[in-house]
Amino acid sequence: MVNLSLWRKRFFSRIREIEEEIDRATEELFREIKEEELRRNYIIPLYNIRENEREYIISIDIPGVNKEDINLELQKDKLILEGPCNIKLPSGRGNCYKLAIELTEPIEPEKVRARYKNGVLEISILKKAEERRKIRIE
Amino acid sequence: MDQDLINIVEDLPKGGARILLEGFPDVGLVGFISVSYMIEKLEMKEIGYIDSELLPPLVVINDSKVRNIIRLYHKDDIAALISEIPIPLPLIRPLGNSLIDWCKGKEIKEVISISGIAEPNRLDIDVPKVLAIASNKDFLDYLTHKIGIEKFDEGYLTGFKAELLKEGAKRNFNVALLLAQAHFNYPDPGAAAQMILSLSKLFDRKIDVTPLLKSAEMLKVQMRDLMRRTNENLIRLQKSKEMEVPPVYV
Repeated sequence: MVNLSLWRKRFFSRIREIEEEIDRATEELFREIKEEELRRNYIIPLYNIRENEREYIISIDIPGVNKEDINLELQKDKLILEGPCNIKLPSGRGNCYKLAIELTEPIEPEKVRARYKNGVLEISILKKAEERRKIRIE
Repeated sequence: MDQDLINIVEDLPKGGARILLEGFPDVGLVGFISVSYMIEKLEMKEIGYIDSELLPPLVVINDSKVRNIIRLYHKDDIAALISEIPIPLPLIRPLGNSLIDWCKGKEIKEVISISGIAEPNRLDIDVPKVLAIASNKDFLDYLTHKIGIEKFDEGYLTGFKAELLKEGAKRNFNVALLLAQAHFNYPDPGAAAQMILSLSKLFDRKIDVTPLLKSAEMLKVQMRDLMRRTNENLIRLQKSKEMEVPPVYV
Protein backbone atom coordinates (compact mmCIF):
# COMPACT_ATOMS: atom_id res chain seq x y z
CA MET A 1 0.00 0.00 0.00
CA VAL A 2 1.28 3.50 -0.89
CA ASN A 3 2.20 5.67 2.09
CA LEU A 4 0.68 8.95 0.86
CA SER A 5 1.93 11.09 3.68
CA LEU A 6 5.53 9.93 3.21
CA TRP A 7 5.24 10.39 -0.58
CA ARG A 8 3.89 13.93 -0.08
CA LYS A 9 6.68 14.81 2.34
CA ARG A 10 9.32 13.62 -0.14
CA PHE A 11 7.61 15.41 -3.00
CA PHE A 12 7.56 18.80 -1.23
CA SER A 13 11.09 18.32 0.06
CA ARG A 14 12.25 17.76 -3.54
CA ILE A 15 10.35 20.87 -4.70
CA ARG A 16 12.15 22.91 -2.01
CA GLU A 17 15.50 21.49 -3.15
CA ILE A 18 14.75 22.46 -6.78
CA GLU A 19 13.75 25.97 -5.69
CA GLU A 20 16.99 26.34 -3.73
CA GLU A 21 18.97 25.16 -6.79
CA ILE A 22 17.22 27.77 -8.97
CA ASP A 23 17.93 30.47 -6.36
CA ARG A 24 21.61 29.54 -6.29
CA ALA A 25 21.90 29.50 -10.11
CA THR A 26 20.11 32.86 -10.38
CA GLU A 27 22.30 34.43 -7.72
CA GLU A 28 25.38 33.09 -9.48
CA LEU A 29 24.21 34.67 -12.75
CA PHE A 30 23.60 38.07 -11.09
CA ARG A 31 27.02 37.90 -9.46
CA GLU A 32 28.70 37.11 -12.80
CA ILE A 33 26.93 40.04 -14.49
CA LYS A 34 28.00 42.48 -11.76
CA GLU A 35 31.58 41.15 -11.67
CA GLU A 36 31.88 41.50 -15.42
CA GLU A 37 30.48 45.04 -15.34
CA LEU A 38 32.74 46.17 -12.49
CA ARG A 39 35.90 44.50 -13.79
CA ARG A 40 35.61 45.80 -17.34
CA ASN A 41 33.84 49.06 -16.49
CA TYR A 42 30.97 48.64 -18.94
CA ILE A 43 27.21 48.14 -18.66
CA ILE A 44 25.50 44.89 -19.62
CA PRO A 45 22.07 46.14 -20.70
CA LEU A 46 18.71 44.52 -20.06
CA TYR A 47 17.36 42.76 -23.13
CA ASN A 48 14.52 40.59 -24.27
CA ILE A 49 14.24 38.05 -27.08
CA ARG A 50 10.95 37.11 -28.68
CA GLU A 51 10.84 34.68 -31.55
CA ASN A 52 8.41 32.97 -33.84
CA GLU A 53 9.01 30.59 -36.72
CA ARG A 54 9.83 33.53 -39.07
CA GLU A 55 11.96 35.89 -37.04
CA TYR A 56 13.73 36.98 -33.88
CA ILE A 57 12.62 40.25 -32.31
CA ILE A 58 15.27 41.44 -29.89
CA SER A 59 14.91 44.55 -27.79
CA ILE A 60 17.76 46.04 -25.77
CA ASP A 61 17.43 48.83 -23.21
CA ILE A 62 20.29 51.27 -23.84
CA PRO A 63 19.26 54.72 -22.58
CA GLY A 64 21.65 57.63 -23.07
CA VAL A 65 23.14 56.56 -26.39
CA ASN A 66 23.14 58.59 -29.61
CA LYS A 67 21.61 56.55 -32.42
CA GLU A 68 24.61 57.36 -34.64
CA ASP A 69 27.04 55.91 -32.07
CA ILE A 70 25.41 52.49 -31.79
CA ASN A 71 27.60 49.79 -33.26
CA LEU A 72 25.52 46.73 -34.11
CA GLU A 73 27.09 43.77 -35.87
CA LEU A 74 26.25 40.24 -36.85
CA GLN A 75 29.10 37.74 -36.60
CA LYS A 76 27.81 34.41 -37.90
CA ASP A 77 25.19 33.47 -35.33
CA LYS A 78 26.09 36.19 -32.85
CA LEU A 79 24.58 39.66 -32.50
CA ILE A 80 27.08 42.10 -31.02
CA LEU A 81 26.22 45.53 -29.64
CA GLU A 82 28.45 48.33 -28.44
CA GLY A 83 27.53 51.92 -27.70
CA PRO A 84 28.90 54.71 -25.55
CA CYS A 85 26.59 55.66 -22.68
CA ASN A 86 26.41 59.44 -22.24
CA ILE A 87 24.91 59.26 -18.77
CA LYS A 88 27.24 60.27 -15.95
CA LEU A 89 26.45 57.83 -13.16
CA PRO A 90 27.12 58.95 -9.57
CA SER A 91 29.42 55.93 -9.18
CA GLY A 92 31.46 57.17 -12.16
CA ARG A 93 31.39 53.63 -13.55
CA GLY A 94 30.10 52.28 -16.84
CA ASN A 95 30.60 54.54 -19.83
CA CYS A 96 29.78 52.00 -22.52
CA TYR A 97 27.15 49.31 -23.23
CA LYS A 98 28.33 45.91 -24.40
CA LEU A 99 26.27 42.85 -25.20
CA ALA A 100 26.62 39.68 -27.27
CA ILE A 101 23.62 37.47 -27.98
CA GLU A 102 23.95 34.04 -29.55
CA LEU A 103 21.16 33.10 -31.92
CA THR A 104 20.34 29.43 -31.97
CA GLU A 105 18.84 29.20 -35.48
CA PRO A 106 20.33 30.15 -38.88
CA ILE A 107 19.41 33.67 -39.97
CA GLU A 108 19.29 35.85 -43.09
CA PRO A 109 22.09 38.40 -42.41
CA GLU A 110 20.75 40.68 -45.18
CA LYS A 111 17.30 40.85 -43.65
CA VAL A 112 17.90 42.66 -40.38
CA ARG A 113 16.00 45.81 -39.40
CA ALA A 114 16.68 47.96 -36.35
CA ARG A 115 15.09 51.05 -34.79
CA TYR A 116 15.98 53.08 -31.69
CA LYS A 117 13.27 54.86 -29.75
CA ASN A 118 13.16 56.24 -26.20
CA GLY A 119 16.32 54.40 -25.22
CA VAL A 120 15.18 51.02 -26.52
CA LEU A 121 16.81 49.39 -29.54
CA GLU A 122 14.55 46.93 -31.36
CA ILE A 123 16.04 44.55 -33.90
CA SER A 124 14.14 42.11 -36.06
CA ILE A 125 16.15 39.37 -37.74
CA LEU A 126 14.62 37.03 -40.27
CA LYS A 127 15.35 33.33 -39.80
CA LYS A 128 16.52 31.29 -42.79
CA ALA A 129 13.40 29.83 -44.35
CA GLU A 130 13.33 26.07 -44.23
CA GLU A 131 12.12 24.21 -47.25
CA ARG A 132 8.45 23.44 -46.88
CA ARG A 133 6.42 20.67 -48.52
CA LYS A 134 2.66 20.59 -48.58
CA ILE A 135 1.12 17.41 -47.20
CA ARG A 136 -2.00 16.16 -48.83
CA ILE A 137 -4.77 15.25 -46.40
CA GLU A 138 -6.62 12.08 -47.34
CA MET B 1 0.36 32.55 12.02
CA ASP B 2 0.82 35.51 9.63
CA GLN B 3 1.32 37.83 12.58
CA ASP B 4 4.29 35.71 13.66
CA LEU B 5 5.88 35.95 10.23
CA ILE B 6 5.36 39.66 9.61
CA ASN B 7 6.54 42.42 11.89
CA ILE B 8 5.23 45.92 11.07
CA VAL B 9 7.16 48.45 13.13
CA GLU B 10 5.84 52.03 12.88
CA ASP B 11 4.60 55.03 14.78
CA LEU B 12 1.55 55.98 12.70
CA PRO B 13 -1.27 57.11 14.99
CA LYS B 14 -4.69 55.48 14.59
CA GLY B 15 -6.61 57.47 11.99
CA GLY B 16 -3.38 59.22 10.96
CA ALA B 17 -3.76 58.24 7.30
CA ARG B 18 -6.75 57.57 5.06
CA ILE B 19 -4.91 56.00 2.12
CA LEU B 20 -2.01 53.56 1.83
CA LEU B 21 -0.06 53.71 -1.44
CA GLU B 22 1.88 50.55 -2.23
CA GLY B 23 4.74 50.61 -4.75
CA PHE B 24 6.61 47.33 -4.64
CA PRO B 25 8.85 46.39 -7.61
CA ASP B 26 6.84 44.84 -10.42
CA VAL B 27 6.30 45.23 -14.20
CA GLY B 28 8.43 48.17 -15.50
CA LEU B 29 9.10 49.17 -11.87
CA VAL B 30 6.13 51.53 -12.34
CA GLY B 31 4.98 51.22 -8.72
CA PHE B 32 8.47 51.63 -7.28
CA ILE B 33 9.35 54.67 -9.41
CA SER B 34 5.96 56.40 -8.99
CA VAL B 35 5.66 55.92 -5.24
CA SER B 36 9.33 56.79 -4.59
CA TYR B 37 8.84 60.00 -6.59
CA MET B 38 5.63 60.85 -4.69
CA ILE B 39 7.45 60.27 -1.38
CA GLU B 40 10.15 62.72 -2.45
CA LYS B 41 7.87 65.37 -3.95
CA LEU B 42 5.32 65.29 -1.11
CA GLU B 43 8.21 65.32 1.41
CA MET B 44 6.83 62.29 3.21
CA LYS B 45 8.53 61.22 6.42
CA GLU B 46 9.90 57.74 7.04
CA ILE B 47 7.85 56.35 9.93
CA GLY B 48 8.59 52.64 10.03
CA TYR B 49 9.38 49.38 8.28
CA ILE B 50 8.24 45.81 7.71
CA ASP B 51 10.44 42.90 8.70
CA SER B 52 10.08 39.16 8.33
CA GLU B 53 12.14 36.02 8.73
CA LEU B 54 11.20 35.33 5.08
CA LEU B 55 13.18 38.38 3.93
CA PRO B 56 16.90 38.10 3.19
CA PRO B 57 19.15 39.61 5.88
CA LEU B 58 19.65 42.82 3.92
CA VAL B 59 19.79 46.52 4.79
CA VAL B 60 20.30 49.64 2.68
CA ILE B 61 22.96 52.15 3.63
CA ASN B 62 22.22 55.78 2.71
CA ASP B 63 24.46 58.60 3.98
CA SER B 64 26.01 56.13 6.43
CA LYS B 65 22.53 55.44 7.82
CA VAL B 66 21.18 51.88 8.10
CA ARG B 67 17.73 51.52 6.57
CA ASN B 68 15.31 48.64 6.16
CA ILE B 69 14.36 47.32 2.74
CA ILE B 70 10.56 47.61 3.12
CA ARG B 71 9.86 51.11 4.43
CA LEU B 72 6.76 53.02 5.42
CA TYR B 73 6.32 56.78 4.89
CA HIS B 74 3.63 59.25 5.93
CA LYS B 75 2.39 62.77 5.30
CA ASP B 76 -1.08 64.23 5.92
CA ASP B 77 -3.68 61.61 4.97
CA ILE B 78 -1.35 59.43 2.86
CA ALA B 79 0.92 56.59 3.94
CA ALA B 80 3.25 54.96 1.41
CA LEU B 81 5.05 51.66 1.30
CA ILE B 82 8.04 50.78 -0.89
CA SER B 83 10.47 47.88 -1.07
CA GLU B 84 14.04 47.82 -2.38
CA ILE B 85 13.64 44.18 -3.46
CA PRO B 86 10.89 42.23 -5.19
CA ILE B 87 8.67 40.55 -2.60
CA PRO B 88 9.80 36.90 -2.17
CA LEU B 89 7.13 34.40 -3.15
CA PRO B 90 6.62 32.81 0.30
CA LEU B 91 6.01 36.28 1.75
CA ILE B 92 3.23 37.29 -0.65
CA ARG B 93 0.24 35.72 1.09
CA PRO B 94 1.19 36.43 4.71
CA LEU B 95 2.21 40.01 3.86
CA GLY B 96 -1.03 40.70 1.96
CA ASN B 97 -3.03 39.35 4.88
CA SER B 98 -1.09 41.23 7.56
CA LEU B 99 -1.17 44.48 5.63
CA ILE B 100 -4.98 44.48 5.42
CA ASP B 101 -5.14 43.65 9.18
CA TRP B 102 -2.75 46.50 9.88
CA CYS B 103 -4.73 48.97 7.71
CA LYS B 104 -7.95 48.05 9.49
CA GLY B 105 -6.24 48.48 12.86
CA LYS B 106 -4.93 51.92 11.85
CA GLU B 107 -8.30 52.94 10.38
CA ILE B 108 -6.81 53.34 6.90
CA LYS B 109 -9.77 53.32 4.50
CA GLU B 110 -8.18 52.56 1.14
CA VAL B 111 -5.16 50.74 -0.25
CA ILE B 112 -4.01 51.85 -3.71
CA SER B 113 -1.50 49.49 -5.25
CA ILE B 114 0.54 50.89 -8.12
CA SER B 115 1.91 48.75 -10.93
CA GLY B 116 2.52 48.30 -14.62
CA ILE B 117 0.76 46.07 -17.09
CA ALA B 118 3.03 44.57 -19.74
CA GLU B 119 2.40 46.07 -23.18
CA PRO B 120 4.33 44.30 -25.97
CA ASN B 121 3.89 47.33 -28.27
CA ARG B 122 5.01 49.84 -25.64
CA LEU B 123 7.63 51.24 -28.03
CA ASP B 124 4.85 52.51 -30.30
CA ILE B 125 2.85 54.12 -27.48
CA ASP B 126 3.78 57.71 -26.62
CA VAL B 127 1.27 58.20 -23.81
CA PRO B 128 0.65 54.99 -21.89
CA LYS B 129 -2.87 54.38 -20.59
CA VAL B 130 -3.61 53.93 -16.90
CA LEU B 131 -6.26 51.37 -16.01
CA ALA B 132 -8.00 50.59 -12.71
CA ILE B 133 -9.44 47.57 -10.97
CA ALA B 134 -10.78 47.50 -7.42
CA SER B 135 -12.01 45.04 -4.83
CA ASN B 136 -15.59 46.33 -5.17
CA LYS B 137 -17.67 48.05 -7.83
CA ASP B 138 -18.42 51.28 -5.93
CA PHE B 139 -14.75 51.95 -5.27
CA LEU B 140 -13.87 51.17 -8.90
CA ASP B 141 -16.60 53.51 -10.18
CA TYR B 142 -15.38 56.26 -7.85
CA LEU B 143 -11.75 55.91 -9.02
CA THR B 144 -12.42 55.72 -12.76
CA HIS B 145 -14.77 58.73 -12.52
CA LYS B 146 -12.44 60.82 -10.34
CA ILE B 147 -9.27 60.13 -12.34
CA GLY B 148 -10.93 59.78 -15.73
CA ILE B 149 -9.40 56.41 -16.58
CA GLU B 150 -10.70 53.14 -17.97
CA LYS B 151 -11.50 49.99 -16.07
CA PHE B 152 -9.31 46.93 -16.42
CA ASP B 153 -12.16 44.73 -17.55
CA GLU B 154 -10.66 41.37 -18.40
CA GLY B 155 -7.44 39.48 -17.84
CA TYR B 156 -5.29 37.83 -15.21
CA LEU B 157 -3.34 39.47 -12.40
CA THR B 158 -0.65 37.73 -10.37
CA GLY B 159 1.67 38.47 -7.47
CA PHE B 160 1.42 40.62 -4.38
CA LYS B 161 -1.01 43.08 -5.99
CA ALA B 162 -3.38 40.25 -6.92
CA GLU B 163 -3.18 38.96 -3.35
CA LEU B 164 -4.07 42.40 -1.95
CA LEU B 165 -7.02 42.68 -4.31
CA LYS B 166 -8.24 39.20 -3.37
CA GLU B 167 -7.96 39.93 0.36
CA GLY B 168 -9.76 43.26 -0.09
CA ALA B 169 -12.64 41.59 -1.92
CA LYS B 170 -12.83 38.81 0.67
CA ARG B 171 -12.81 41.15 3.66
CA ASN B 172 -14.91 43.94 2.17
CA PHE B 173 -12.02 46.41 2.28
CA ASN B 174 -11.31 49.04 -0.40
CA VAL B 175 -8.28 47.91 -2.39
CA ALA B 176 -7.54 49.27 -5.86
CA LEU B 177 -4.88 48.47 -8.37
CA LEU B 178 -3.80 51.15 -10.85
CA LEU B 179 -1.92 49.79 -13.86
CA ALA B 180 0.02 51.79 -16.43
CA GLN B 181 0.93 50.24 -19.79
CA ALA B 182 4.65 49.57 -19.49
CA HIS B 183 7.68 47.72 -20.79
CA PHE B 184 7.70 44.27 -19.20
CA ASN B 185 11.47 43.96 -18.83
CA TYR B 186 12.73 47.52 -18.52
CA PRO B 187 12.28 50.28 -15.96
CA ASP B 188 9.62 52.58 -17.43
CA PRO B 189 9.76 56.15 -16.03
CA GLY B 190 7.42 57.30 -18.85
CA ALA B 191 4.71 54.95 -17.61
CA ALA B 192 5.45 56.04 -14.02
CA ALA B 193 4.97 59.69 -15.04
CA GLN B 194 1.50 58.92 -16.44
CA MET B 195 0.70 57.07 -13.23
CA ILE B 196 1.74 60.09 -11.13
CA LEU B 197 -0.50 62.36 -13.22
CA SER B 198 -3.40 60.00 -12.44
CA LEU B 199 -2.54 60.01 -8.73
CA SER B 200 -2.36 63.83 -8.80
CA LYS B 201 -5.99 63.88 -9.95
CA LEU B 202 -6.99 61.33 -7.32
CA PHE B 203 -5.34 63.23 -4.46
CA ASP B 204 -6.14 66.72 -5.79
CA ARG B 205 -2.46 67.61 -5.58
CA LYS B 206 -0.40 69.01 -8.40
CA ILE B 207 2.77 66.99 -8.87
CA ASP B 208 5.18 68.09 -11.59
CA VAL B 209 6.60 65.11 -13.49
CA THR B 210 9.10 67.14 -15.55
CA PRO B 211 12.07 66.33 -13.26
CA LEU B 212 11.18 62.63 -13.45
CA LEU B 213 11.09 62.68 -17.25
CA LYS B 214 14.33 64.66 -17.38
CA SER B 215 16.12 62.06 -15.25
CA ALA B 216 14.43 59.09 -16.98
CA GLU B 217 17.58 57.85 -18.73
CA MET B 218 19.66 58.00 -15.56
CA LEU B 219 16.91 56.20 -13.60
CA LYS B 220 16.75 53.44 -16.20
CA VAL B 221 20.47 52.75 -15.93
CA GLN B 222 20.52 52.96 -12.15
CA MET B 223 17.55 50.67 -11.73
CA ARG B 224 18.67 47.92 -14.09
CA ASP B 225 19.86 45.65 -11.26
CA LEU B 226 16.55 45.92 -9.41
CA MET B 227 14.73 45.31 -12.72
CA ARG B 228 16.87 42.22 -13.37
CA ARG B 229 15.95 40.76 -9.98
CA THR B 230 12.32 41.77 -10.41
CA ASN B 231 12.17 40.08 -13.82
CA GLU B 232 13.43 36.87 -12.25
CA ASN B 233 10.71 37.11 -9.61
CA LEU B 234 8.04 37.89 -12.20
CA ILE B 235 8.89 34.75 -14.16
CA ARG B 236 8.25 32.66 -11.05
CA LEU B 237 4.97 34.48 -10.48
CA GLN B 238 3.79 33.43 -13.96
CA LYS B 239 3.55 37.16 -14.73
CA SER B 240 3.31 36.48 -18.47
CA LYS B 241 -0.14 35.09 -17.63
CA GLU B 242 -1.21 38.74 -17.41
CA MET B 243 -0.83 38.98 -21.18
CA GLU B 244 -3.29 36.11 -21.71
CA VAL B 245 -7.01 36.47 -22.14
CA PRO B 246 -9.13 34.33 -19.83
CA PRO B 247 -11.51 31.86 -21.44
CA VAL B 248 -15.13 33.04 -21.68
CA TYR B 249 -17.05 31.98 -18.61
CA VAL B 250 -20.66 30.92 -18.79
